[in-house]
Amino acid sequence: MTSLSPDNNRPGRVLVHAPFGRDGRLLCDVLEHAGVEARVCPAIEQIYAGMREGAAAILVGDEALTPAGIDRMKVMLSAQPAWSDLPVFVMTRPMDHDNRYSFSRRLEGLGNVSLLDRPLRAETIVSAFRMALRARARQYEIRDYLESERRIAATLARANDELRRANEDLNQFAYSVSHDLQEPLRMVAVYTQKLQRIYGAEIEGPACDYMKFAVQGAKRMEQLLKDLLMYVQVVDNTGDEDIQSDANQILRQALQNLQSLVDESGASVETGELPVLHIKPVHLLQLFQNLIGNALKYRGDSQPAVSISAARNNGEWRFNVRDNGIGVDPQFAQHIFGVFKRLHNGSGKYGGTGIGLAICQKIVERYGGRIWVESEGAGKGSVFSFTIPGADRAT
Amino acid sequence: MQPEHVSQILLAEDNPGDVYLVRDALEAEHLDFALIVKNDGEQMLKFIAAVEAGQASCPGIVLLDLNLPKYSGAFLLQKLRESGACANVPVVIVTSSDSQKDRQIAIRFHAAAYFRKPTDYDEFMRLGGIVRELLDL
Repeated sequence: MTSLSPDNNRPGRVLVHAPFGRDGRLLCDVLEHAGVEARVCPAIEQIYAGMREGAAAILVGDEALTPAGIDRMKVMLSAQPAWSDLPVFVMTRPMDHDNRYSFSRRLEGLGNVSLLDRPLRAETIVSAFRMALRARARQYEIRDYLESERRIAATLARANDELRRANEDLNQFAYSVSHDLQEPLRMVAVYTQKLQRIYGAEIEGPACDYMKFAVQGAKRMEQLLKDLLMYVQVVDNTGDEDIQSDANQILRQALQNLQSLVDESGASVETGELPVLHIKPVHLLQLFQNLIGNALKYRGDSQPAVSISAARNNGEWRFNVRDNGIGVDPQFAQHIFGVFKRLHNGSGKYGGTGIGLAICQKIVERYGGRIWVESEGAGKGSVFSFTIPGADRAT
Repeated sequence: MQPEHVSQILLAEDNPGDVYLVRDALEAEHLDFALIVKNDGEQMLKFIAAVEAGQASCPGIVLLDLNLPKYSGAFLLQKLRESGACANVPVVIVTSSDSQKDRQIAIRFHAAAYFRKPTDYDEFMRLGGIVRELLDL
C-alpha cells in the first residue's frame, strides 16, 4: 500500500461521498470555507483514489452505506497501513433507537467511525473535522517515526550483516593463512636442518650461524602461525548454549598444567573461593594459564607470589591475578594486549610470541567482559583483572 | 644389523619434499623396503582397484597423507577399509593437520597411527620407528 497521505505533514483532505443531490458540494463548501481542504467523491471508488493521494478523513452519507457499500468501504479501509486509522464520519437520518443500534453495529468493521446526526449545522461539521484533522496529524507523526525507526533498523541490520560477514571472512582468511603457510615453512625448516646435517662438517665460521638463523626463523614463524590460529579460534561459538565452568576446578587444572613453571620458580600460589560462571571451560583455562603463566614468567628477584581471587560486583564477576613480579610501566598498560605486542624481546630472557594477553582479551570480550592491568610501575608487581558478566552463583 | 625381508610400503603423498623425508626416515631404520609412491588420490584409487582385481598385491603398510589432490585421504582410507584384499592393512596417517576432525577420521577408520608432520628434522625421522613397530607386528 502506498503512503495514504501526502509526503509533507499537511493533514490532507476530507473526502466527501454523498451520492444524492448537492449534499456533497455543499458540505465541501462549508469545510473549505473554514480552511479545511475537501473533495467530492461522487462514486465510492473515488474514495480509494483519494485515500491514495492522501486523505485526512472521510465523510459519507448513510444512503451510500448499503450492505454492499459497507463491504466496499471495508475493503478500502483495510488497505490502511498499521499506523493509519482514518476517521470516518457517517451522516445519519433520524432513526429510532433499535435501528440506530443495528446500523452502528453494521459499521463496526469500518474502524474509526463517528455518527453525525442530520440535519447538520455548519459549526458541528467544522469542529468535528478540525478535531479529526488534528488526530490525523498525530497519526502522520507516528508514521514518520515508524518510518525513521524502520530505516535505522534496516541500516543497523545491514551494517551488522556486513560486520558479521567481514568477521567471518577475516577469520577464514586468518585460519587458512596460518594453516597453509605452515606447510612451505615446514619444508624450509626441515630441509635447512637436513642441509646442516649433510654439509655441517664442511661449513665453518659465520655460515654455521646463517644456517642456525634460517632454522630459528622458520621455527619462530611456525610458532607465530600456531598462536595466530589459536587467536582466531577464540571466536568459534559452536556449542555456546548452556556452558558452565567451575572456576575452582579450572584453576586447579591450570596450576597443574603450569606445575613445572611453579616448581622451577619456587612460587607461592594463593587462591580464593571462586564462582561458577557462564564461560567455556577451555576459555577460562586459557585465561588462568596465560595470566598465571605471565605472573611466574615475569618474576622479579624475590620469591614469586601469585594470588587469584574473584568478587561479584554490579552483575559481573571480577577476577584478580596479583603478582610481585617486574610490573608493567603504566604507559604500556594497553599496548601489551595487542597481538604479538611485547615489552621484552621474545628471544631473550622472556620467551613467547606475545599472543597470550591478546587471546585473553579476545576471550573476555567475547563474553562481554573487560581486561586490564594495574601496576605501580616497573618492579612493583601487577594486578591483572578481568570481568565476566552474567547471572551466576557462587559455589 | 640382520637383513630383513623386503616390505612393500605404499606412500600416498603429493609433496616431493615429504616423499624424500619419508624415505629418509625409513632408511634411518635400516628397513629393507620397496616404496611405492602415489602422488594423488586418483592414482591411489586406481591402485586399490588393481589390488581388488588381483593385479597388484596389498602392501604391508600404507602411509597416507590426508590432503591429497583429487580424492582426500579420508575418502581413500574409507575405500581401503571397504576393500576386500586391503581391509586390514595398517595405515599411518601422515599429515600436517592437527584438527580434531582429522584425528576423528583416523580413529573412525582404524588408522594404526596418526603422525603429524613436524618442523623438526629429527622428529620427522621418528616416523621410521613407527613403521618398524607396525611391520614387526
